[in-house]
Amino acid sequence: MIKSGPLSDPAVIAILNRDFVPVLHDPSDPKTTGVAPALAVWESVYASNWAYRQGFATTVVISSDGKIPLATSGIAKHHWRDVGFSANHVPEKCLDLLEVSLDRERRYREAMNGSEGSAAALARLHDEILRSIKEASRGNDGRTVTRFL
Amino acid sequence: MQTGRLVLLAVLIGISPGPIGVFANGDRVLPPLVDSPIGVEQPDVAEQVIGSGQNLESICGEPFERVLMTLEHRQGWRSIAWRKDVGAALKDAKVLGKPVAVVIMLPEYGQSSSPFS
Repeated sequence: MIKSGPLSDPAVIAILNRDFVPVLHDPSDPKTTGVAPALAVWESVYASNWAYRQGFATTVVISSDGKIPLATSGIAKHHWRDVGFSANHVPEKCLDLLEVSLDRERRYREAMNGSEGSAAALARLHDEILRSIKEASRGNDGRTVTRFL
Repeated sequence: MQTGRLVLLAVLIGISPGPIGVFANGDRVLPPLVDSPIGVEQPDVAEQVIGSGQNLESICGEPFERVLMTLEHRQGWRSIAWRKDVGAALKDAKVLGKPVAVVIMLPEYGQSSSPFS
């Protein structure tokens, strides 16, 4: 549904190709995991539960240096309540997620440039991202994600 | 014998749940969608219903999973400029100064494992 829903939406495709570097990531492939520190949480979540080997899908936007996650859609579920409301399934919500990520990348880079007040700005940004990840991760899957944050 | 067949037919009609478009519990399905199953012939409508958060099954009268499977036939995602793997994406991201959108997905999940296939 992620592929056939938001990822097949023209507006989402346009912003992904213009403003992001998109990649499909297989968490079960040891050759490609452990490369980006920002993905450690989700790779750990996948490895923590055998049930995820039957199906695991989510979107995580990470900073251009690969060090921190900027936003996530939460782990996709095929329940109709999730299908109707989450960024995994609704193009408009996916677009919101991408816009927010762009803003956070800009603020992250500004804070990393070491200007005055950048440490406080970085701490605020980290806090905001952490809260948004918890918010996007609900139910049993969310509790698992929170355990690794 | 003829009478027996007629009685049997009458009994069968009597216990049928009703004409297409009416569930056994009496809920009516929206007629235009029943005439043209939305999951099969109108994926855009199906997506709108999904996006609105309404109960898809009760509106389109098709099993939910079947509608989802139909939507899986969309191929637009293949036109996204996917990088080969996370390592390659990070190299490009550093040069371009753009964040990386990582769609984490098992090969078995969805249609196929890779846009390069």
